[in-house]
Amino acid sequence: MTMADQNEALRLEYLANFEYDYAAGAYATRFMTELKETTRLYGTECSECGRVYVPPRPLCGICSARTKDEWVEVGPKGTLTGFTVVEIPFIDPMTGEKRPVPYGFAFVRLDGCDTNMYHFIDETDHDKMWVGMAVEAVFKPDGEREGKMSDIMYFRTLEEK
Amino acid sequence: MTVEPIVYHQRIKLPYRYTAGDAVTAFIDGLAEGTILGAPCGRCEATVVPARPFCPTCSGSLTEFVPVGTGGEITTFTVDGDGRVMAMIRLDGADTAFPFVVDADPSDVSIGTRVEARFAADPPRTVEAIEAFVIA
Repeated sequence: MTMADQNEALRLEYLANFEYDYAAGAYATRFMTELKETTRLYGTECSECGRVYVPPRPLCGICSARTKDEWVEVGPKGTLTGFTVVEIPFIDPMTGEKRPVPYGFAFVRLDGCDTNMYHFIDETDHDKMWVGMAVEAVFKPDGEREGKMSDIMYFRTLEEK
Repeated sequence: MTVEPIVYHQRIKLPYRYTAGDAVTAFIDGLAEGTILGAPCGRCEATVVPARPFCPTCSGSLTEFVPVGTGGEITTFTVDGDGRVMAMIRLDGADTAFPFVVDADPSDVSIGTRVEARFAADPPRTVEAIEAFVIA
């Protein structure tokens, strides 16, 4: 018997819903605690090549040497090193909802470090952003920070063309 | 500065739609009638259960779906931390095994144990139309 043409096509709606614990470890714990309590951002400096990593890490990714015990403060100002404007909504896995579009998404190199971080930026016009543009982190107010990267709400642009 | 190590309790939520296609649609709808459908391959003569559109052995196209037995045997199994048995079950007339929950005491289960499907009284249009397999 061939049943392929006899049945209404079956479509099932599912929600993949995974809960898990993520242990941040010593470096991210200290970084996030400083962010929460003081809004200061810190990096670690390679003891051999001098590269500064944000977020902090115990080993240099290039020369594998230990980073120094003394952490260095970076930012909150930085430089735009890449950007896009997201126009197509997609599911944010943290919420299960689509984030409203458009929104700006940026790579930022904080002043005093050698690595890029990605975050939101308060601009949705390609023509008003450029690589090398000055930007600055905007933090959640005191009492609302949770020790997460979202304690930086977004980066704001500091220059106009 | 001494700080308490942070452990983030997080959640990933991804809603999605699974479109079953002809073969799995036929398989699921067959369950509501108390039948389990497989797909015989005209080329390599293997019968695949659950029914699917392509033969996993020779990649032949599978378009015919036929009932196989609602009973079969356990080919391998495991027991989870709560004592539930999950087994690979090869039904009578099938050449492949598929995983399903076996509602049985783990100490009664071994490779080769005969089991039978227990269908739901009010079957949903999902694979849960089979509640579990039980020892025959």
